[in-house]
Amino acid sequence: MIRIKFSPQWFYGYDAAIDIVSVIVLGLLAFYAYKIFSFTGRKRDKYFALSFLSIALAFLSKVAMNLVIYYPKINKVAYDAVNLTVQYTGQSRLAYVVGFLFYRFLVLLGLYGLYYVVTKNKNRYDIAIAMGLSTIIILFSSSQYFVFHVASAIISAGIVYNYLWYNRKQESKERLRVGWAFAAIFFSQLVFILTIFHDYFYVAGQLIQLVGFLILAYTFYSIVIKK
Amino acid sequence: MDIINDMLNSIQQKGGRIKPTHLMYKANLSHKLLNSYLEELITKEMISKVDGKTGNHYIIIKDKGIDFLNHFRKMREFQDTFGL
Repeated sequence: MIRIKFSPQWFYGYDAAIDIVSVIVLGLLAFYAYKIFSFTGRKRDKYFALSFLSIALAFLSKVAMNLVIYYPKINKVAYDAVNLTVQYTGQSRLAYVVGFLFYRFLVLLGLYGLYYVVTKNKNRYDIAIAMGLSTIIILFSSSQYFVFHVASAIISAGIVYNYLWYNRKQESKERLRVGWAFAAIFFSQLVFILTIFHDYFYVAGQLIQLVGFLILAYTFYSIVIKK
Repeated sequence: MDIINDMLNSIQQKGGRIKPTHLMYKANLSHKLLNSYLEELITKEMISKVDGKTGNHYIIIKDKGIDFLNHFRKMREFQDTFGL
């Protein structure tokens, strides 16, 4: 049987609300970065914007999938297709695979994009190869959920390391804050892996991830809006 | 964009008003290049030329120029913060 729901029942809808907040934060960052690109014309700025957009779209698709699974009244036809009580049917597998694979692919694409940009990696093929391998491993893994979160944690760790490493030379409060935001996102991925033991870890992971995105939101506010 | 930012910054640092020759030295531009940028900035209404009491010409920064400086500063800070 496929396990589709990881959230405890009392948390239904709250995780979707948290993901919507994440979509808004990511969307703002993507929008501003794209505005900078339209000004500078630098590809790096464009890739940065597209990376955040990719993750924003991923969370949007996750919200849609979760609402369909949690609230059958929203779309009874889709609910029947997912067929939760169940059996391993071709239809439910397809709905699950398409929905969450799309989410996982976009998150990994976005994280790899961010990693490529912040590490100023000159070789795009390194990233493309890593991305391709990750997708294949996740797609064909029997534990897609956990492999995905391990992969996300590894890439996030690389991003965190880059921000905190470079901050030691040019001390910047805002950059340190961004480093800590990605550290929260990295930590949340590790906590999601622990969902195997108890659903409450899913709740904890969602909350820690939310903290990460709120720190990014505050950083955006302090740079772009406040001053 | 960096050159325009440097020019507008130089004007702002001089209290919003500067002589063209001073601007040329501060922004490290040739006379020809300076004039070309000044024309562009005047067209975009970021600066204007005024005559001083002693017959000298001055460049003054306008509101659009100050807005540009603010936006450019925020943009740079965003880029530095996120390591772009």
